[in-house]
Amino acid sequence: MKFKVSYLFVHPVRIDMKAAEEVLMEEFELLEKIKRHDREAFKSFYEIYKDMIYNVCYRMLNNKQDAEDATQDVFVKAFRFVYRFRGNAKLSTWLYQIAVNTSLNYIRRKKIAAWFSLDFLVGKEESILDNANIRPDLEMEKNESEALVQQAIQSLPPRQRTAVILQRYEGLSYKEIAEVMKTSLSAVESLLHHAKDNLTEKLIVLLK
Amino acid sequence: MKHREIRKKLLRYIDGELPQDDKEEIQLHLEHCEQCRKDVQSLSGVWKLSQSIERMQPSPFLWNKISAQLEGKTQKRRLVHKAGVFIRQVAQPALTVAIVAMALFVGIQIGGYLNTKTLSRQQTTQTTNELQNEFGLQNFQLLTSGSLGGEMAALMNYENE
Repeated sequence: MKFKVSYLFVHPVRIDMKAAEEVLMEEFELLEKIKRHDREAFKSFYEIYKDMIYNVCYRMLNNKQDAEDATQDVFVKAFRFVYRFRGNAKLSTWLYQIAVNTSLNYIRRKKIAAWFSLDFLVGKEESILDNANIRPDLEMEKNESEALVQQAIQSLPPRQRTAVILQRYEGLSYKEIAEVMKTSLSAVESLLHHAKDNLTEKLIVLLK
Repeated sequence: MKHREIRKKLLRYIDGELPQDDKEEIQLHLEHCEQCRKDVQSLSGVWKLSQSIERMQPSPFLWNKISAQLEGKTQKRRLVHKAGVFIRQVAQPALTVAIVAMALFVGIQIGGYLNTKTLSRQQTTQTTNELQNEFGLQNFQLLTSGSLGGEMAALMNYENE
């Protein structure tokens, strides 16, 4: 990273940069250990990223069990393919990519399984407040809001859903979303624009 | 903008993602449209409440599952590696030798068969010629057909063919 000396001298960001560099160094060392198949290092890595991955998978799949299975797959893939991570992007971006792709594969597989189970013929639908998705740690009102918003998000096409989840729940910038989804900034803007318009319509119907 | 178009943009209005012109137009519309005002209120409530929800945590046993799967994969990879070594060092050379031996055997068999066939044909021709010479049968070929000599010559030619 190249900065002009004057910039570093007058700008308070200098301290943050140093801290960020230290974090990056730690991350780099951790990855190097994982590349040598150090199981302890991988456990530390898991502890750092488990909540992030699990929440993305849960938002994408709207089911705790599926989210847990997908999280397991994401970490196994990360361990197996860690040698492919060259450090061109942020580690979190790489992990988000794996999590999103794994979740999308689950959605595809579930659709095929549902087709073969012929559920659509008997009109079997998952309830938005089924026991598997209720969070006992939340109040009823929050649970209901969460269920409504989740149901609306699930009705979106996969790419719109991914963009909304990454922006709203993971707080990623447009640029970061574009990196995770391997697309352009304008495409992300368009995806989010359409996603929110669709969500508005869906939520207005659900709220009545 | 029409009422329907405005309703569609309410979530982006709540999130403050609309351009200034659209924002002002919606604000103006909300002053007159009670239905849209109610929708903004309920939408905003649900939307903001759901965002304030704490992040979830995976089961405490998830690491054990991952660890077990990795262990299984490592063992599987070790087996695959051993199988690869076995194939490269033992099975592949053995297979090459077997293929070469088989090719040689088949070649020898085919060669032997062809040789035998040629020899037997040569032998037959030779024997016939010897017989013809012995009995002086070529002389009968000069004889006209229908005669005894001509019929004998025709019979000999038929046998040769």
